[in-house]
Amino acid sequence: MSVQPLTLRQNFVAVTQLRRRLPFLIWIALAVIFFVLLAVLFAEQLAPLSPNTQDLILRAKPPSAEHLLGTDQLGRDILSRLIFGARAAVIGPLLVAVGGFTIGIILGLSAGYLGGNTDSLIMRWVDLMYSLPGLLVTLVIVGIVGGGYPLAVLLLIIYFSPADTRIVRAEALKQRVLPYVEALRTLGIPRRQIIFRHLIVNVMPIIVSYIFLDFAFALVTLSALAYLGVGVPPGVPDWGRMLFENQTLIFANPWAAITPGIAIVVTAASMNLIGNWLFEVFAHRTEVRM
Amino acid sequence: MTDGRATLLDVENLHIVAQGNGTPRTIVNRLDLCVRRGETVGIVGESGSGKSLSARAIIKLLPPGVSATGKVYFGDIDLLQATERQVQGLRGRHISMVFQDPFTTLNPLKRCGEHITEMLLPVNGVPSSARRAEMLRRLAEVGISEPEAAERYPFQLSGGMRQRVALAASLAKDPELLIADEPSSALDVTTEAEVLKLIRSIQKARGMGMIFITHNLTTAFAVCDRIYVLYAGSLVETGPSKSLLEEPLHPYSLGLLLSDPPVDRRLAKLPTIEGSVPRADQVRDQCPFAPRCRWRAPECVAGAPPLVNLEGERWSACIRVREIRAEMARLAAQARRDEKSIEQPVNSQCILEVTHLSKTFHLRSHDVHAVKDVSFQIGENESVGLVGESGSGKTTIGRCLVGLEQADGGTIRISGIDASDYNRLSTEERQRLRRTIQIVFQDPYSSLDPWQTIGSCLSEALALVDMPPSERKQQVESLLKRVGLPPEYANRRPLALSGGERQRVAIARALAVRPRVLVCDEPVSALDVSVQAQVLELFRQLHAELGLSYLFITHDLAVVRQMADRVYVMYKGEFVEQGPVAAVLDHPQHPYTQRLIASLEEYRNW
Amino acid sequence: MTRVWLPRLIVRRLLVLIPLLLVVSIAIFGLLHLVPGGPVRALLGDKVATPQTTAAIRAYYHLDEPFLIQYWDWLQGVVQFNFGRSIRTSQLVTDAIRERIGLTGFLGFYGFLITACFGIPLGIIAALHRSSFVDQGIVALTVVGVSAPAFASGILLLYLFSIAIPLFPTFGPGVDFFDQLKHLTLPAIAMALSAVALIVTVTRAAMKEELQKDYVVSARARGVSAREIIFGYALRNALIPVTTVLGLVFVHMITGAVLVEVTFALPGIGSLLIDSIHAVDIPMVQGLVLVAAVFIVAVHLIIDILYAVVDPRVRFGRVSE
Repeated sequence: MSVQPLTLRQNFVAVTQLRRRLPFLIWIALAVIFFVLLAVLFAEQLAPLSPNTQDLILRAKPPSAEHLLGTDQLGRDILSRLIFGARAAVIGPLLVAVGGFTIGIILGLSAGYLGGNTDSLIMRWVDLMYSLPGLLVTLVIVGIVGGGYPLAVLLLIIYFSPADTRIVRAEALKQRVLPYVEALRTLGIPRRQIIFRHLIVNVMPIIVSYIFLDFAFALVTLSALAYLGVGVPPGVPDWGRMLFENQTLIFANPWAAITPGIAIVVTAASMNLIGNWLFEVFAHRTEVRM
Repeated sequence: MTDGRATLLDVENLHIVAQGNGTPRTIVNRLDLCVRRGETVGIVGESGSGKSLSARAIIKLLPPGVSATGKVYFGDIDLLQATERQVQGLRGRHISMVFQDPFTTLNPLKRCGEHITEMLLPVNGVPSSARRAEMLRRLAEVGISEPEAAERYPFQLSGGMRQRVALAASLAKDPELLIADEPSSALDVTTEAEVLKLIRSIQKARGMGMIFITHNLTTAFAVCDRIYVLYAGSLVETGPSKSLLEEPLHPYSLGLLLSDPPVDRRLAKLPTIEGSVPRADQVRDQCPFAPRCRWRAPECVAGAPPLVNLEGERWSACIRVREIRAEMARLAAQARRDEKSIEQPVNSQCILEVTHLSKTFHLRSHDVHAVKDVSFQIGENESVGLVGESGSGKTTIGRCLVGLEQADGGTIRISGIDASDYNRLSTEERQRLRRTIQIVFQDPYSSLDPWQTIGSCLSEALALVDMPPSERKQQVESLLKRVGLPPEYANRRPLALSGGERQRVAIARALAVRPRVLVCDEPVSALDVSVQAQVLELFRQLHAELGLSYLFITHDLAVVRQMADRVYVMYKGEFVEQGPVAAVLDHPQHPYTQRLIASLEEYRNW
Repeated sequence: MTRVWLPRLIVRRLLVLIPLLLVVSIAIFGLLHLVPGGPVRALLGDKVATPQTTAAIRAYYHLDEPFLIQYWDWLQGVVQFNFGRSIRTSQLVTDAIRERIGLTGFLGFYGFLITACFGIPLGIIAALHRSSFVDQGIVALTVVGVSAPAFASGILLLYLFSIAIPLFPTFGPGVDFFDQLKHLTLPAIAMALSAVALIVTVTRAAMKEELQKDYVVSARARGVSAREIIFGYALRNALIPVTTVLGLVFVHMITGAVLVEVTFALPGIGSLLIDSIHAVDIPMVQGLVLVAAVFIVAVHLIIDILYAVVDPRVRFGRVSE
């Protein structure tokens, strides 16, 4: 008989066992994510051709046997560029989602649990950031100052963190007034233990679902920035940038213009679906009494 | 059932099922019910009995995922078969309903008067010019005489006022049948009595039929003419309230009746029903009460027992009622005679002393003086009651004692340590203090970390008293045993336990640090009636076995009578009366105390 | 208690917003000094950096004086609507903005109309037909809407309804009013898509929650009409969470506007901003961002007022329960 508290992973497994039936759409979303991850890890093996080889004779050609999705303005293979583009589509948004929530957890737990002046200070910062249109600010700063992709990712982390802080704080506040937290306090359990052994465990599930949603939004935002020519990852294909490069090809090879867009939408939609579903699973853990 | 009055509602074979996540769950097995014009019929049951959903099924307002079959005849129409349009036409005009929670039953964005005027349309025969006057008249009917109340939003009124407005709105179209779902359970004792009296008088004046739903059998006796007792989705007994009160003819009704402790005397032993309320599905093809019944026999679980007419209008679903009737009556008489005098502990050392305590909460719009200059003491092995209604400040006092709130003024001394400000204590003193006084909260459903196993929870508490890990497992088992739970429970998580069991775990956790004083903040109010007595009895045992002192905070005078030696009565932040329990409850001096006792007088003594 | 709260609320908000605006303006002004290569290089643009031109720039823009003095000079100009000249085109910044703001305004208003007309009604419909095909269809659309950046949906719409099925013209702003209407339809839809998705999601969730609440069940039990329940009870309360998300919706629309102006080659201030950023045309960027900041602050103020209108508890100084 073990008297150790359940680990985070065990908790997660327990919860997913509660909802044994996964909705059909979620299976599709998971499949999409799986393929995207495959593209990220094994782009060299999967892509038929190199993404950067130019072939000026075959430029702007519609789909053919050799180029399944045709070629772009510089004769590069669209399909290969799409596959390689998965890297930029995953790494940046992942950093933003995780980075934003790391800051969010630190600040949100402090604000929510410690309260008082810490809370007011943090919330004032949050309110200030909320009134700024993050995309435009990032656009202007990265556009003027330079710094490309890394700066864009960094600024987006900063842009996302107030919203994440607010979410974590709200959850922490909800938990903090629950009797079990008060019971732990009266027992004399040290604050650090309450936060890290109890609060985080209860707050984590909701946060995980939000991370998926944040990822989707970060993907959309980063591709928008790349589309506008700001914060483009150097040397590698980027779906947003591809869209900009190929939009004039809409008459010659519509696939070149449309497929990057579809890639963005499908990936973001899958992450959104998973995030929404997780949110519902975790939010309905509470029992219904009659 | 022939006494000449017209039958308003006739429910036959009502069966309610909930369709959550795949497997259907039975909520109500079978309910038969009838209401005549001018009479009040009570549906009594605990949580999980299906009483509230039955009411909603009658008026066809079941939540999504819940469905009902059977027949519900209102006049000639079977409501369950009728179209939504037809039922919609009946709602409000012929059948209406009042709900439990006054704080959520009104539209937060509509002024109170508007709730009524929107029901008084020209269509209903009220010309627009006369609407306002008519609305004011109806507010007066429910006891609201100032016309300004009509302009206020719900959040500006008290719970009792809001419930009155809701009542007026429900009656605006003058229905013949009113369904009242626990209309006063969420209110203070004094307000509750007023609202019940109001409902009863309106019903009589209008000659309405009424269905009154409650979890409290004794309230039902005071208000209803006939009672239906529901348990785990099945009807177990029905009959006129007077005869049911004198002689319940089902072990559950008997148990329920006895579970409600009396206010007028202390019992040597609180009658309890062991176990907890099962789900309707678990007891479907047997007598639902059998698992907890002391008279259970093999035939009780062989099949679902039918409701049998015993005499006159009395029906019972107990197969063995004829055999055990005499024994039940004997038990009831014994319990009624049971009385124990309350002994004051002799010259006990003072272990907790509070002098001139005060606490004010500063909200955005105004200040709330929760506690104003309060002083009291608790001796060793003494059980002190702190009684008051919501908003009296009693919970604040409890929280100040354990450091969850910081008092503004006054001193608290516990076992020699100055506990007035926990933040100013040294770590060592604070630790000592926390091992002297602990608290048990009201809501068992949220006082345990849902992600933690019981064993881990208790072990964590044991770690605080420097118990080495090797001994902890054993101590956890012994703690569980002490509160009456089997040792296997250490592996379970709170979700798997019932309310009563969770409260026991909370008590075990508090006991783990071996305190000498236990603050019990309404520890049984959130539990089912049939379980409350169990937990109270546990508190009693622990008091005797461990020599604990209690500060028992409650709004329930009957609980005070059973649990406390001395009592302080609190009203709006101050003590208005104090003294030995028998003296205060039998001969109350202060008008507030007298009012509290009077509210219960009608229906709390058996 | 009746009408006094409105001016009091506005004053209270302005006391916070105006200092905010000033702080933002300092940051906007400071952009000049963030350019790699220094402010002189930025202000010279394409011209060669000779000692004479450098000295001229330094004198004209007061670059030798302390930062705050420079800021003050600039601010004085700003308040008189003088943002300087574009480095790229030498046109007065204010003239350039004035030329283009009409088109962006038209586009913005069009997008706002679409959002208002579709957002809340679709949310209500989805909530009323819970778990049916209609509901699931609407939810699917919202997921796509939130996942599709305005340029991606813009290009898709362009392909589908302009090339594959030639319903709408492809690029450009159009000539007169009705021509503009045709030209701006696809961009407006693309721009409004994520905003609509957001509003539908929040409205649907809020309506679903309100319809389950006690006060709605009580009202139905009393016999209140279905229409009054939907609009007077559920929707009225559901609008509260919707107003909290209006700020976010507005931000989506602005970014959408910039993106579709680039996609559809519309000469509005969005595409002007992008061109100016690429050319590092500091005065133009400063002017545009400042205009945007003032506009955003004004919209936030309106949203705050709207919030107080919708929820009377806020007016009385109480936090919503």
